[in-house]
Amino acid sequence: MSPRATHRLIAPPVRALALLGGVGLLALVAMVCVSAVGALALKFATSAWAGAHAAGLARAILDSGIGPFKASFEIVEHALPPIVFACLPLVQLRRAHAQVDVFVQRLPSPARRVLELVWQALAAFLLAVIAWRLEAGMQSKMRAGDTTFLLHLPVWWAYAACLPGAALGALTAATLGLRAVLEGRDV
Amino acid sequence: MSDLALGLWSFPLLLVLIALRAPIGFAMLAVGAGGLWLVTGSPNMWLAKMKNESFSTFANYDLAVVPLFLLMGQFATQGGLSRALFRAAEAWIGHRKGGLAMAAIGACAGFGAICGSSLATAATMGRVALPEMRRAGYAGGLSTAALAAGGTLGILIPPSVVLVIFAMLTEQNIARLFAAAVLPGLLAVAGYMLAVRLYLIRNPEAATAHAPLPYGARLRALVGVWPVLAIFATVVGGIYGGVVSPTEGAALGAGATGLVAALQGGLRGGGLWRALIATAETTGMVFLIILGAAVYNGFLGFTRLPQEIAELVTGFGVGPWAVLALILVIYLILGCFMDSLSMILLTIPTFWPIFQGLDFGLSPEQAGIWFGILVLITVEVGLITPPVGLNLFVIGALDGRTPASATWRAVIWFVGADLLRIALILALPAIALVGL
Repeated sequence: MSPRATHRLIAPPVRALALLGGVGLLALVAMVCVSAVGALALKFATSAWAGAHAAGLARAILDSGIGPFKASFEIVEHALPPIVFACLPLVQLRRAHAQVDVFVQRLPSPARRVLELVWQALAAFLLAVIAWRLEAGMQSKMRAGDTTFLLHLPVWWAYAACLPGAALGALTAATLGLRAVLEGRDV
Repeated sequence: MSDLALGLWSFPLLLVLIALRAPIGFAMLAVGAGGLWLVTGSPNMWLAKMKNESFSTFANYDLAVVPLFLLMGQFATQGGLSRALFRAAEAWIGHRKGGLAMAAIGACAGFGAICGSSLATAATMGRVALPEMRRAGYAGGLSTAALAAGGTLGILIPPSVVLVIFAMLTEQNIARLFAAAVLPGLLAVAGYMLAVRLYLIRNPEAATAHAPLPYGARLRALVGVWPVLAIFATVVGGIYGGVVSPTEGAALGAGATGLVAALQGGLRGGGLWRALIATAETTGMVFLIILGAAVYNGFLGFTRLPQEIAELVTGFGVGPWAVLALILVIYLILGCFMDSLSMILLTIPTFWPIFQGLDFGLSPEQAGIWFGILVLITVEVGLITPPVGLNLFVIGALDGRTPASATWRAVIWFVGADLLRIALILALPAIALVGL
């Protein structure tokens, strides 16, 4: 398959994965907001002022069991790496990396193409290594049977959720690198 | 080569790779990994470390603040809050000579209060304010320069992604840093407005004036920005007051801004999709640099380079002021080419131990916050320094018709305002220590 066809093939899953990451972030926003509002309501209900002036409301809040969602902390911690990895292929696809363009812009186009190939190859290699290491990390978490502190969810799930992003990122970089050489695309 | 020499040589190597347009995150990752390989004699140690590090670097509750603030900024962009802010600022000061440029700066400050990124602030406000200034007959250079400079308020005025990263690297209190950034941020607004006036004394034809609005209309315009004030008060006030953690504050801010954007109809017709994709793109970009910096600085720590340099500097006998000035000059130079976050992630692990060894007669906490604010302001100057400031590119691309040289001639005044502010905060640390 030509790199161009591969490019067309991987762009939709790259966008879909990034969007999934964005939706995951929205879910975190909702969870943390509910938890924070719950914590504030509980603080209010247990305050001296509420006991004296709004005893009924305070009682109702306490009876309803409203409060902070204690597992929010560990969910954020374990959801953040998968969200980040879901975003990485998009950064690669759109060349949205932090990079310094000013010097290279003055180089002739073949030199720029060579550099593009080198950096895409480096990105593909490093992301592949990261994917490989994440997989090894996942295996060891699985063997050790590590679970999260409060919800007792297996930690390897979070590692596993990082893998698609790292692997798709490597594939994206490889495709872009090949396009730069084979098709002489100017970047 | 000794470990120390390897550490020392890694830095110029890294700069060369970056100058050749290597993505900065990957460049740091590669140099750090390669360095550890050379120091330990095999790749195994790095590979073993990466089993955890590629996950645990991101598995950090406080780091969640970064994507949440980015999402909040995107919602603010989609929600049309930029237009309401410009309307309000314009209603109050737009009639004066150069008033639209000053209104744009004021609106940027307002937008900066709900957005933690300079490029997003410059781009969003530019879209709103540039056409208005052109219609009013403002010279291109003044408009583009004012917006490029105003954009830096996105990071100077809390919440600020750069401050969050600085706090994480130096184990400082985010709430205190946010509070400390407010007064210098307001000083920046005043300085930029002054720059507009001074520019107009030299170039009186660059701006126009018109009749002021009646006070009723001014008040109505002000009412339109209440969501911005409410969100800023919740996020920065809540975090500073210790009512919510920074992550909770950022989530509440993102949630509230998203709600406002939805009510204004800004999330319809693909608006939500655009906000999520843009957030994902910037999140991935930022976190890759964070991972690269973690690996590179892990290697530097292994070579003991930061401690050695800190000891060397302390033993050198140069005064603390000279060292601090040198650090700031390095940031000014690097800032002309690199983005603020990369610079901070790359250099703070080395500069921080050096700074900690200097005595300015402040308590360690005060000194840390003062340094954070100074670094924050200094790295932002690079965004508007010709010829390569990133904000100049963003605004130049939006405007499309002002020659770069015209922008440069006007932006010099704003760079001057920045340098003056740095000197002022150097001379009077108390400006950056309010609320401490």
